[in-house]
Amino acid sequence: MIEIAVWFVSFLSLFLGIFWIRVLYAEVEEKKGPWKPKVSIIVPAYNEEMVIKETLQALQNTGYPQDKLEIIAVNDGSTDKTKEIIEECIKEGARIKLLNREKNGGTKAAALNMGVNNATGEIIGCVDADSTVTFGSIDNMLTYFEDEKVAAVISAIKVDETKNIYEKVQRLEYIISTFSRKLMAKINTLHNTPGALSLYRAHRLREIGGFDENNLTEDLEVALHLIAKGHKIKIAPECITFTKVPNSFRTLWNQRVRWFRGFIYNTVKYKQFLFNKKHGMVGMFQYPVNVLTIIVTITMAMLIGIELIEKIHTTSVKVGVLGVNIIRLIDIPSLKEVFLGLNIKIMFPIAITILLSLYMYNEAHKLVNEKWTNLGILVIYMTVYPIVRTLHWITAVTKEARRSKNKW
Amino acid sequence: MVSPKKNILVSLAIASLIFIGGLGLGVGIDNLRSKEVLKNLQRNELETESYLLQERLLRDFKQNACEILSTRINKMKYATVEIGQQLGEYSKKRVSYEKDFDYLKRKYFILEVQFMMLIQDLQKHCDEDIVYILFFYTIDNQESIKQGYVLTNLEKEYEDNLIVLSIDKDYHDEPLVDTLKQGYNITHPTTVVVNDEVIKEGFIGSAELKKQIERKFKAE
Repeated sequence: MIEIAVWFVSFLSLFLGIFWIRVLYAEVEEKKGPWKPKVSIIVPAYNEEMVIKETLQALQNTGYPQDKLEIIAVNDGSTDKTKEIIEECIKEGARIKLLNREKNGGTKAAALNMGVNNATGEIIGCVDADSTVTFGSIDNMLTYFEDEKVAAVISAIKVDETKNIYEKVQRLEYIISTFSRKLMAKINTLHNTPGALSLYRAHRLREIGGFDENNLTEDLEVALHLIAKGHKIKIAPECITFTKVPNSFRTLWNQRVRWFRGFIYNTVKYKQFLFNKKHGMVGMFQYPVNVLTIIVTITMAMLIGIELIEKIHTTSVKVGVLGVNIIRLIDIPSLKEVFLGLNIKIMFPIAITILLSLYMYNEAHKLVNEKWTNLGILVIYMTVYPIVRTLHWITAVTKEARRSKNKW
Repeated sequence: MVSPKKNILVSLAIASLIFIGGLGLGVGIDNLRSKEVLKNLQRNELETESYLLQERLLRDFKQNACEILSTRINKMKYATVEIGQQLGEYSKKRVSYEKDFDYLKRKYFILEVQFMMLIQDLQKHCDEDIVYILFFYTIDNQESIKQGYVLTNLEKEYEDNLIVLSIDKDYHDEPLVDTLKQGYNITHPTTVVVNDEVIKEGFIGSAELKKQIERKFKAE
């Protein structure tokens, strides 16, 4: 059973790998043109006293004409000095509009919507309070709005600090994420507008009623909502936004479970996409692949779990029967024995998946001009991290199934 | 830009081709494994023929055959065990149809029975400390699996003095297996026969089996 599942997953990975490689090398003409509309950037902030100043300073230094840039900081009921720091920036001469919510709304969406309601720009941008927008990004991202169907443009995201193992693994993850978003954008299946930096056409955003305030992942929901209305989302991979990522197991765990719960919730919410020709490649390809990914991940985890239990049982039986003499059963094989002993049913699909992954990782690094820095981290990313991610998925599925209380 | 539909179909086709290539590789390795086992079986057959002729010659020349034959039996024992292990491992890992393996398995059982007869003959004519065990097992049976661990361990412990011959109780393609089963009245999924004597049906622990083996040594 496990062998059939491994072959199925490997075939799926291989098929998707080849599909994306063909997309990677396919020529796609991007409609791009200079455009300098008024841009309103919303920065929702809840207890961000450590980072808010840096974020606001970076926004003022993006090179975009100051008279066309409106920065709206929304203090979402912070209990630390976030509000005071924003006020201090304003006193120092920064052109920032401060909106204050006395009480935290529970979700980021409420703060974002407050910003949307007060924004005057043709384009509305959303920037997380712990993200740093780089020089020229807004200018470059705006060129992608040349295509009238484009309702949102996102930037590439890189991890700001990579001090510990969690941050280093996420650095690799974000590189691959940017790469996969670039590929999805090429076939118009990009379906996420991350909080780090996303620009929206203001009227399109208002048409759909802004952000869903009852959603754990409002950035995913808003993107799906725009797609449902027939709009497109693009990525500007040359525009980089730096973001801070969870730096401990616990914070990473909480963030990922929240993301995955949001993913499941929104996948169900927009189930009308599934195999719906009206939604093009999103409906006929991307959405089914997303659903399949969840199912396959959980199924594989269960099968591997069963296999593991069997192995533990076998070993315990051996130990029970032989006591400590178990080592006597181990013989060192010759090279010929190793070759003839290869289990091709397991080795072949795994080898294919690893080769394909390495190729994709290499291409992802090239896209964002990054170098392979740490092979150890890559090994962790390819071996340990998938297990942790599977556990995130299982937790998220369980919590969604039990309808546990949503916590942002 | 190629059409998405075409891209999906082409990608499916390429993925299928690569997987067929993988299956081909699997079949190729299966063939190499079959050849390897067959080569070892043929080598063993040759050994057996040579053994029988040597035995005949030594007896004709009225020379002491026991020491020489005992050494040869031990060599053949390791070769037989190796073939058994190869067959077990390869049959678990094979990708292709099992017809080839069935042939090899049948050949192996014949070899085992032939080998058992050689041991019985040696025991009759020589005063050698050799005990053989016929282990009737059932595939995927927990008792049989446990018994297998015990026997493998004991075989290592007693080295040249203990020979374990494993026989798939449910293998009906070879009439010799049925004859043996009838001869020893084997009905239980796991049964151990020590020197022609059914010790007990079902799993026998290491300590008890050791006792029986020691008893047989003393009896010789």
